[in-house]
Amino acid sequence: MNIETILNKLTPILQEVFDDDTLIARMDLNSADMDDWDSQTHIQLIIAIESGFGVRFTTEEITDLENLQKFVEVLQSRFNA
Amino acid sequence: MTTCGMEGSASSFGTIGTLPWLPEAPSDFKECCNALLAKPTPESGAEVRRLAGYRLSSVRIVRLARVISALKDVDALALLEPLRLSLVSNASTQFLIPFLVVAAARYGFALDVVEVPFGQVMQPILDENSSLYAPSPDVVLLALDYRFFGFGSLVLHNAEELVVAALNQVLVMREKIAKIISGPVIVQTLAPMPERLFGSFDLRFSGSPAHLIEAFNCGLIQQLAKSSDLILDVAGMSGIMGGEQWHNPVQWHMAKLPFDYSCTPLYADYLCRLLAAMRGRSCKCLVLDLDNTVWGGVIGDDGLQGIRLGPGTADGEAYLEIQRMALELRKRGIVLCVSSKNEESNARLPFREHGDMLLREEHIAVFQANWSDKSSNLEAIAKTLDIGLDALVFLDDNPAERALVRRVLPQVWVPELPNDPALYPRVLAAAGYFEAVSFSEEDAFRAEQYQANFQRVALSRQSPDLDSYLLSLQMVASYGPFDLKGRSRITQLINKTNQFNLTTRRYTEAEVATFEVASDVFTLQVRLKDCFGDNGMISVVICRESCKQDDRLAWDIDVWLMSCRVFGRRLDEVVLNVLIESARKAGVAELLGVYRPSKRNALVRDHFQGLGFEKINEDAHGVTSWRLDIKKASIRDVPIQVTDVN
Repeated sequence: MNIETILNKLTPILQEVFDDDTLIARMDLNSADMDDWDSQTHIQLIIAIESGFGVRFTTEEITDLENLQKFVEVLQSRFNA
Repeated sequence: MTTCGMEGSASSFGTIGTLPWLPEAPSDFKECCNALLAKPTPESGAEVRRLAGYRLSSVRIVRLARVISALKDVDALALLEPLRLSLVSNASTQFLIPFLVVAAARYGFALDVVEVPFGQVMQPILDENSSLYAPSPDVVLLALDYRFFGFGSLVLHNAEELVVAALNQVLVMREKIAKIISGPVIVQTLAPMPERLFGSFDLRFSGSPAHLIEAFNCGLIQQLAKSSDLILDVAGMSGIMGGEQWHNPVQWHMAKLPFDYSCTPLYADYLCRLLAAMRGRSCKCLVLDLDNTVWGGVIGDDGLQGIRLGPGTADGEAYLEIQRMALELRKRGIVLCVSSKNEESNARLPFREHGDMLLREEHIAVFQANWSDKSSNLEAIAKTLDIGLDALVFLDDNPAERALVRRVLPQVWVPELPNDPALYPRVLAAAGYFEAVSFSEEDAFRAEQYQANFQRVALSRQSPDLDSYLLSLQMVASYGPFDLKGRSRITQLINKTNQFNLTTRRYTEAEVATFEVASDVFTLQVRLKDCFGDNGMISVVICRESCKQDDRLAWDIDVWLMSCRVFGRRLDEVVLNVLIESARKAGVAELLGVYRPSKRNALVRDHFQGLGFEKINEDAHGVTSWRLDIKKASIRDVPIQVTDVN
């Protein structure tokens, strides 16, 4: 799965979790820049992505998922392994 | 209103943790939330409660919780009872709050939650000036797990003392809180851990986590025996979900979630039903449908011997278990009633004469068997028992009946049900409608206090809004002449249908086949789909063409029948429309109908009259003959889309 495919699949998940239909997934999206990216939405995001992609993140993987690039990298490693 | 978006289609049934007894959320859920935000009114609380009554994803729960918070700020939640909860925990609870707020709204509360800073338990409780007590809460929840008491690791010496110390600590907290607030403290049982050290031997070694937790739970129950403080049975919840799912080490390490995020809706509902019970909001009465709910099959069509009930067959036993569950509830004071679309004599027959019935007439406080809509009957039941509509639980296998009641009487609790009746008791129990905080001798006799046993009450009126409800069902009827594909189902309906059957004439499959090609016979098979799915073939008509004195053609309606499952949806009018239009095309001048009374078809005695036929004869046996002049007949406006499959 390439980066673009992953981002395309992340966009509707992000829109749902952040309740924002205009949000587009991009690599530089991060929790520091988004007011709504609090611990609640962080958990929801992890769970929504897990179910959307059919994966379970390991503890090591979720330890530093503070921006979207990290999510994409983890998903890439899962699907391109 | 357009909307089967009112309720989604009932497809797969979720696990208990997803609260599967709640109906699926409407597709316009977000718009409903936005509408509330845009225009708060004094009635907003009712709409909030309706939305909180659906099965919601965590994202939708967070959204609705935001709406509730905004409405609270503008004092638009007057219809909900304010309740303030202080929450003390050794885990992270911030993520819990929207779930609690929404679950509370489901039970009629506008909940305020006060959290203490993460990691603090004893200090805020012991400090009278802490935020825990200002403003004063109605109830304090001690959401503590095994980690708080140090029960996570093996204790080699004096394990009993550790348990005693933990229980003492709880006592100190409760006593301190009781000095400051007047409401109760809620204490949790501890969920056992799935990890064992010795294996089964853990239970026999007093210092093992499994043993410590078990001993604490027993001690806690004893400590609270004579207290008005409450127990929230977290151990029971984790048992339902399974310890493996309940304890999620990844989420604990990540965010200190005390249990798996997916269990949060169940936890929140458990807590809020306890709050509801504390405020006397628990349900008091279970209203049962009969056909395919307390026995298998349709008593009016299948007869006493034909219904499936009792030992010997798997589904017959499943229905027995539903009856047993109802009787167990009655034993603890829940009043039982019946609301069934049936002839009353048919409906009562199994109660009187079926040897395997556990439910008997004397168990039923109000017995409503008639053909009126169920919402009118539920209103009559509530009025007779002098309890609120929100004290009724209505159990019915038919999704359309459930949807109608929810729409007309949103206060009534109507659980979604799985397709398999064997699972009804579990779903009914898990939904927690009858949560109690105490049980007295008086409660045990409450169900028997209704002296006017198995009474029937008159209905004050039909429920309004029936047509808009029918419209929301998005019914599509399709019709065509008899054909090979429909032949066996047509034959089955002709030989099985007893109630909505004007003539009760039976034909073999071979005879049905001849109707397909006979030039002097007009046939009709009707199928129905609605937003809940495909009901399949539900009506059959056979007309025989005859020539009257003045060369005018007439159709004698030889068979007209309909499945009772779709009775009351104006399908008989759809069929009449089709008959009139087909007759016109065929140059037929009149329709001739006959009603031949049988033991079971009193339901349709006035069928032709209701459809505008004129009575031309009645004989000594009650057989009536009817005529409709096609020229004068008008097509009726019916909230059902109709398609000709040809």
